[in-house]
Amino acid sequence: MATHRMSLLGGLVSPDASGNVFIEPYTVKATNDVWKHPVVIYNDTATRDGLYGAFTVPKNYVGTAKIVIVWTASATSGDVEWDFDYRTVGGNDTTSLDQSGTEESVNSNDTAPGAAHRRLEFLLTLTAGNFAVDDLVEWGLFRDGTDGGDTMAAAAIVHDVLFEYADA
Amino acid sequence: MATITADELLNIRRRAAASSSTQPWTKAQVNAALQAIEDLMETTGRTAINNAVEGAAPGVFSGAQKRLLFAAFCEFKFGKGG
Repeated sequence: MATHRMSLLGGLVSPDASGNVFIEPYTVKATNDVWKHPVVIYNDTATRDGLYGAFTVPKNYVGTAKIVIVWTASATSGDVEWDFDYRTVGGNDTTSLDQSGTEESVNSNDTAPGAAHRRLEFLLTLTAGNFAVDDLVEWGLFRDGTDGGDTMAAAAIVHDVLFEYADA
Repeated sequence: MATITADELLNIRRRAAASSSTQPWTKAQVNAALQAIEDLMETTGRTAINNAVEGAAPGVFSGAQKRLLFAAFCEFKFGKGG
């Protein structure tokens, strides 16, 4: 059995309409301005704002599904409340891709780095049985500023979002 | 003493974060600090600044002009964005 990770930011993603989640070059927030790859910014807000996307469950998926958020911040104090909502849709001409409500919503908070811009890796465990090979997974990753657990007074800088799973 | 609204605190927090390379404070800590500055300015701070300007140039500046003058001074003293 092996563990795999696949990036969810390699496909098309779309921030919500709040203006509080957006994509910008890392140089905007970074100090040294060497690495110019795009990052997803989740601003300090009092609202729940998110990024949306979709991916297909790989052929070798068996279980142990997790979401891995690779993020950082210039802040060194406080927590960020992360929420991940999703719905899986499978089959051919059997199930709607436009269903209301989520199949599962998981959330927890992670603490700011001990020094600005350190790499953080935060895992959210998903219900493995919800996923099947070839399912399309519609997802949203949110920073929940309405939650009292969100105390970091700075933007969260997301460098990657990974789907982690185990094969046979 | 005026209470800074949640939206106002949010905007000031973001500006402070944008001007600082790191933020070793939480939302609650910076909100409390901002309200403390507001309380100070609305009590002894406002009076002291008014008296200083009046002492230097009696009857020259209106209230609004004194505020503009102070804002321009802060930008000079601390730089745009701190």
